[in-house]
Amino acid sequence: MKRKNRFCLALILLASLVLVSGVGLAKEYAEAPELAELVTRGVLPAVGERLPVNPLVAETESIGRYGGTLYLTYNGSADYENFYKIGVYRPLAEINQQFEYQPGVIDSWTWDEDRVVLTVELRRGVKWSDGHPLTAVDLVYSIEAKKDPSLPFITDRHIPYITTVRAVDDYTVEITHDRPQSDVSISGLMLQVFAHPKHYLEQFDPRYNPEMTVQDLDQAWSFERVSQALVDMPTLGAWVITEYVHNTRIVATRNPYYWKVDSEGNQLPYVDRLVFEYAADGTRLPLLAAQGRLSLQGRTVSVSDYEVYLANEERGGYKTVIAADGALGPSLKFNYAVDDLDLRSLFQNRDFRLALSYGTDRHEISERLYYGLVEPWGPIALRDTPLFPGEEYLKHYNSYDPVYANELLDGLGLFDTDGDGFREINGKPITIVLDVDSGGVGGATQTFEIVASQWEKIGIRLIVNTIERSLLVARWGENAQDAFMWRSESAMHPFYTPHHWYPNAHPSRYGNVGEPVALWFATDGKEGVEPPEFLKEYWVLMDEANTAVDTEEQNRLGIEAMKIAADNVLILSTTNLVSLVIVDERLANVPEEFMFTHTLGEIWMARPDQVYFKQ
Amino acid sequence: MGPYIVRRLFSMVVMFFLISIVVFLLVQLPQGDFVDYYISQIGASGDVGNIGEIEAQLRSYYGLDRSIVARYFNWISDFITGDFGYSLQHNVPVVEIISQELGWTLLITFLSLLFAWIVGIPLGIYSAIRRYTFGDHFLTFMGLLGVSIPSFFLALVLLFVLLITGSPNLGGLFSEQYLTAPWSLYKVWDLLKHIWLPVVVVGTSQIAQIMRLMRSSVLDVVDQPFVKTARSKGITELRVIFKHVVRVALNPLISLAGMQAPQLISGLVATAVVLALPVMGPTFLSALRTQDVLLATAYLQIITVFLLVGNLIADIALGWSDPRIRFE
Repeated sequence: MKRKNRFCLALILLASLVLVSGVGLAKEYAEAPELAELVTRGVLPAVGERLPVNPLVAETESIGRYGGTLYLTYNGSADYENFYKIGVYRPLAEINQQFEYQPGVIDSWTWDEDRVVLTVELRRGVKWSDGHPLTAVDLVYSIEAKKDPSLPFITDRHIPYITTVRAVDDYTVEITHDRPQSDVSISGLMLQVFAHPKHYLEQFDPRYNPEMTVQDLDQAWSFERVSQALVDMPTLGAWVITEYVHNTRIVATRNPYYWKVDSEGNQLPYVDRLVFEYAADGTRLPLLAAQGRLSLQGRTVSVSDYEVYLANEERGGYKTVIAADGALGPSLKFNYAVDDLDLRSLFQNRDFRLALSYGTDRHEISERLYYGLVEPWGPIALRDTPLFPGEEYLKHYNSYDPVYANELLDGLGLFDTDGDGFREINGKPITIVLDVDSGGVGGATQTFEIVASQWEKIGIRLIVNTIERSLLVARWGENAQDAFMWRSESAMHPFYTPHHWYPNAHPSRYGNVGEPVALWFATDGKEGVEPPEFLKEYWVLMDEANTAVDTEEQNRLGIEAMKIAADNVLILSTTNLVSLVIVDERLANVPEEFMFTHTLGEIWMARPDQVYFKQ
Repeated sequence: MGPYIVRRLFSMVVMFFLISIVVFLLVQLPQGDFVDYYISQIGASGDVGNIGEIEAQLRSYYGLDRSIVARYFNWISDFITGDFGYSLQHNVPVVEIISQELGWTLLITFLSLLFAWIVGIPLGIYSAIRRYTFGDHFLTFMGLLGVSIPSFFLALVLLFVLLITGSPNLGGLFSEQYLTAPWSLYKVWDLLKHIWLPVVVVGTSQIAQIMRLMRSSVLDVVDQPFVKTARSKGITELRVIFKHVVRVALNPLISLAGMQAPQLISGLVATAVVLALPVMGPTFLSALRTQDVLLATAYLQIITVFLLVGNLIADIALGWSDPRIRFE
């Protein structure tokens, strides 16, 4: 009897399973009216055939309606990222606000025991925007092209770590690395555009088509550049670029093969098309917003225009959303190996750095440049992120106390002997020349002009030297700088851009301690300039954390390193940052709060493929 | 006239090559190159790891590892055959970019010049014949204001005024619906509705110069014996001014015109950024920023050609109108 019951139960279970999966198979999908029309005309296959076997279901706040245009801007041919972030191109995986990877183009991924071999499963049945199926071949082709030294113009930052790539079957790809990888260290693989359409590109590839040259492929691939070549190039994104007018306008229209649906089976995106208007810089943006010509824009929206945006909200029919930024505001990075030995001895002295920090009124910066929207911040990770060391470390030396700063400097024997208002060391006035990138961070020059006037009260002369970015980087490489300004990127998780936080390579770009120090670390102390003790401690912790494959271990070590950085004023950071995002007030499904930062995909966190225009 | 033109042509060719050397060296002068820029771009967005390894490969791919002399000769020999090289930043031949923008640049420059002349010359004449009156002082003041207001700022102010008055004009040269439409009368009308803004903005900065030059030139001529003769013959004052004075007084303006076109093209840079114009200025700016050497040099060299050709035309025009010059 019991056995029979069990048998019956099994039968019922089996039957219901078949029923459920049967329902699943027969699931009805809906699509945009314009696509439905193409289907009836026989130009396009039915929506069910266009979607993958298991489309990614987006959990939207509400079910949307199809239609409308998002108006955006772009700033020229270097602005490729803009198109990737709005969703014209998609990376392999998605990421959530807790920095956990989510399925996307890839359905799942597994590691071998040592976390060296990563096996990814592509979502079955995903198609390129021209209807050609996406298979393992595309991913293998892309990685191999990026590794090929004869094609140096196509590369990616994760590529040097990959040794081999192999298609296991049509949907499975095995990627082998030269060293164990952590979740963070594979971000360059998971979150950059990594699958490119082989069936399209091989016609320009001299390795497949002998009539072509390397330059033809360079032009056709248009790697990380916006150009005419992107028109009609197959994509996995929600929209495809269909129109390109040089330095004027770019239009992208709905990808009929996009692989995402809402919970009722409506194929995404809801919005018909994107129009990107050319704006070489941010000057025109407030005017465009006031005309209602910005629908969902965060890039190049400057916080210094905050009042203008607020004043025109009604006229332009938008809301000005304040989003947390993942970076810290402009920071001064000391060159611990500066050629001037007097200055070097000062930079290496903790009391000197402390005095500079106490001599900096960060509230004034926040009030004068950021409408009080930002708060004083030290050289540590952001609040509510895995590496935040705690409120007490946030408050370390960030308060403004010029009296104490002067006492510290007096204590170092630095006095103003010639009465010009500035302290001297060995008869020379203490002067710090700070290189600032002219094009990078808005407000950096202004920030440090304020700091310079504050430091006059503690007898330190700061000269703000605003120069072009590539010049700044070149000067850094030649150790020609006293100090340089850069935003500390990835303050929401320093290991996404570890080179902004500690010198993990030599030659390093954007190292934050001075190139000869980086050399010292890279050669185990054989060459370069020896750093102060705290920096050695900090470096060891950061390096262990950066190479740790276990997330918990990485966080624990990272927090310890953050504490050392805060205690020693590793860099002179000023404030955290906010970003402004202009959101058309008719748009629904835009999250109330989101972080606007590169790693999370900036505007992608506002879910452009899920927003829709209310009636 | 013949030998005069030949002389001018010869010196023009010499100047062209001399300037080309200066231009080429000048653009390469800043530290770093496109590969530095390119890698710094990648570095800004994430861990660069050991991407430095491909630096050398990139340099050799872009030909940046060759000596500057070799690069110069390579460039200049291509340039005179019309091959301006390859833009690293835009990933297309430089010719393709410049040809898309050259037409608009010339059109806006020409219209601005026309605007400045049409407004500046009568005002200059008026200032001269009504010397030291309120009108003269007022015009001088307005002219100086026009010179001192940066044109990008004037553009922003005008845009703001347009915004308040509810005009849909927000810069650019076309409304959205005409941008890619084929040419038609409606499209030309739409262009006219947009193009006046940059023309006025850029032209305004030139009005004062033309006006002041015209004023002093008219004043120089107005007391000369032949004018007195004309007056004593009983010709009406208006006829004296336009038939005799202005014709002679225009000479210095002709030589000015040769220099003005390149000046206007350079003056267009910041304005073009604000007004989103598809002209060469912003492209040049970004080429300099990204160390896209060939694009930047091509731009400068083309301005050089304008300057040389402009001067040649002005010289020929002067030589034709004033025989003393061609026998110098």
